[in-house]
This record gives sequence, C-alpha cells and structure tokens, in this order.
Amino acid sequence: MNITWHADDTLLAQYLRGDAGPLRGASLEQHLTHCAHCRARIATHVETPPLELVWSRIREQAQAPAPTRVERLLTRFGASEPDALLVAVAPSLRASWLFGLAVTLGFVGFSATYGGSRGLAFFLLVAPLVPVAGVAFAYGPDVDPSYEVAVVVPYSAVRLLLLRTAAVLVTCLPLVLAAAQLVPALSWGAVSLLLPALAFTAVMLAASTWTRPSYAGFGLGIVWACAVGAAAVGQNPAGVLAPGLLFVYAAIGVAAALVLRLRIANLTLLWRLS
Amino acid sequence: MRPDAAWGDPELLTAIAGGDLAAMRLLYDRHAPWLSARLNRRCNSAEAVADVLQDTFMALWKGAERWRGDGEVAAWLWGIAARRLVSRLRGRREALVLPLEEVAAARPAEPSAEERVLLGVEYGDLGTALLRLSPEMRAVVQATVLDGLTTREAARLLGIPENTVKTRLHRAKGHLRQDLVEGLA
Repeated sequence: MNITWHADDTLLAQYLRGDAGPLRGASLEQHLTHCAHCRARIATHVETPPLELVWSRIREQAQAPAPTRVERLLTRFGASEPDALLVAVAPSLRASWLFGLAVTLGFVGFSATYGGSRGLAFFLLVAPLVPVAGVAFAYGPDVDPSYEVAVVVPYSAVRLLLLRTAAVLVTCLPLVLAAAQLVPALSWGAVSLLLPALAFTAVMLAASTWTRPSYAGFGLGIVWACAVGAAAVGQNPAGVLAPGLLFVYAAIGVAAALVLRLRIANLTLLWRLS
Repeated sequence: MRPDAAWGDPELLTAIAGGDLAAMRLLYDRHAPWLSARLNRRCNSAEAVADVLQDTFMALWKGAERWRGDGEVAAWLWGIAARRLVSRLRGRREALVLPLEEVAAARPAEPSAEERVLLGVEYGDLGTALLRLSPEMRAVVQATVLDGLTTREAARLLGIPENTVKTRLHRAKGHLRQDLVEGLA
C-alpha cells in the first residue's frame, strides 16, 4: 500500500486515551495494519509493564511440556485442560498400570478357563476388585504423586475424585469384560460382574469419607475374598453371582451412593487432617 | 541463525513455526503494543485484554505455519485477536464492550475537516460516506467490514441479536451505496 501520511504523537496519544473519536480511531487502526513505522511509534506510547506480564505468561505456556496422549484424548472428549491434566496424572491411569492390569486379568482368565472351579473362584475374586483397586490408586496421600499439590490448590477434591473414578471405570471395565469372555462358565454372567464391581466402587468411595481410599479398598478386598472363599468351599464359586445376590449388590451400590452423597463434604477435611 | 530486529515478520513467523521463542519475542515486541491498544478500544477490562493477547500469541505459537505467506502479518494477527476477543467476551458481563455509540455520542456530531481528510486517505470516498452513518450502523460496519468478523461474531461482540446486525449492515450498505453514487454524480 502506498503510505502517504503517518500518525503524529498527538493522534496516537489521543487514540490510546480513547478520545480520538470513532472516525479518526478507525482510520488509525486501518493505517496501523499496513504501516510498520506507525506500529513502532505507537509502541513507544504504550505502557510496557502490562505487556511484559502477558509476555511472561506466554513464555511460561510456550515452554510448558506438551500434553500427554491421555490428556489430549480427554480434552477431545470435552474435559478442560486442567481437568485433563489432573485426571491423567493419577497412577492408575498410567500405561504401566493398564498393562499390568491386562496381563493379570489375562492370567486369571486363563486360570479360570483351565483351572476348574478353583480357577473360576480366583477369577471371581480378582475381577470385581479391579475397578476398586483402580479408584483406590487414583487418589489419596498414599499413592498420588500430585496429592500434596492437589490438596493446596483451590480445586475441589470431590470433583477430582469423581473425575478420576469415571476415568478409571472407563478404562478398567472394558478390560474386565474382555477377560470375562475368556471364561466359558461366565458367558452371560460376564455382564453381571459389573454389578458387584460398580457396587464395590461406590462402597469404596463412601468408605473414603471416613478413611483413606487405600484402607477402604483393602478392607473391601478382604470381605470379598471371604465371600468368594466361602462359595468356593461350597464347590460353587459362581454362586456369588447368583441372580438373588445381584439384587443385593445393586442395593448395596445404591445405599453406598446415598451415603457418599450425604457425606461427600468429609472427603477433603479428613485427608487433610490425616 | 539467531533472529534479530532486522528480520521481517514473515521470516520471524517461519522461525516461530520452527519453535523459536526468541523470534516470537521479537514479533511480540512489534505487534503486542498496537494489538493491546486496539483491543482496549473494544473492551474495557484490562484482564480480558491481557487474556486475549496471551491467547492470540499462543495461537500463533502453535499455528504459525498456518500463515499463508501473503498479505500483512498484522492483519492476520488482528483476525486472530478479534475472534479470541469475541469468544472471551461470550456470556461474560464483567468485560463490557465499549459501544462506539457512546464514544460517538460524546463527540460533536459534525466531523472536523481533519477527520474527513484522514478518513479519505484510508478509505477514499467510502470514508466520507461512513461519516454520515448513524453510530449504531457504524459500529456494525466497523465490526464486520473493518474488523473482519462474521455477523454472528459481531453480534456477540456488540451484544445485539444477529438479525439486528444483519438489518443494520444491510441498511448501512444501502446508505453507503447511495452516498457513493450521489458523490460521483
């Protein structure tokens, strides 16, 4: 563009003060888009401290590590970037954990296929506890490397726990169901495994309002081991998934969800004091 | 090769696309001042302006290679900034847009001779025709034609319904066309 004039200091100062008027303002703006000389001139009139502040934020953001694959996936599904980071940093969402989980379920599934009723009991012992362990390892002072950070930031512990629980369930349950397909005795019962698994997860969350998630998960594991053990002694390990008991699991799950709803405020307080 | 102040904007953009933060700093020093001033004329929340400025340069950092290599880098930057401003202001009450109506109301209705000359230099005959528009119509023309926003974006920026933007723009174009034809006659 052929530049025939340049803005003088008076006009630039007026524009920055906001009293150049709409027409001279619009003219100047149009001119600035095409005139490097006047852009450099106006820079000498603009206060630098606010711009330096913005620059330091830009530099920090530009140098921040790129989001991991899990984070990118979560943001694609609508999570905000901070939420995605907080969810993805949970130990039970690491690739190593998921790989270990897949191997364990694979072995347990095979033992159920070829190991008769004991193998089946073993599978039934492990499978519903997988999401429980996953959630127990998703939050809390014992396992979470970001726990100290998470406690001091103004971010709701409840929100964090529920977000991570959802993420753990989404990653664990397909693995559990896939492993259950390996077990012929369970072909239809595979889906019914979900009921105790979800009920126990709810119980674990509810129990976490009194104690640490890892303790709650451990206690639940012992109770379930006793139940499966008793059924195995009676030569019918699949009995723990009997239709009548499924209603019991559902009831337990609903009750635990209610308790969690009522006591959810205790989550943060408790772990902060312990 | 280290980027220095002698580099042109396109060279800096190429360096930025390659992840050169020093090049970004140079480009920031060149363009952040006028961008922040222009944003300040459209939004009176310093916080929102700072956010938009940050967003704009982060978009540049991540997508410098998307510049097509023609036209002014400044115009491209403003295109990004104007859109970021619209999405930043969406649904927020805290950051009030300065409607041009108010600014115009505080000014004498008849533009000075200097204004006519300045506007004539930048817009030719269109400039003088713009002067005769009502402030409401001028705000719409500014947002859509001069700032390059879509009608939807302009509606968000000015806080008026999209249909109002369309009618005002339509009427403004009618006035401008009439003025230009009469001016030639």
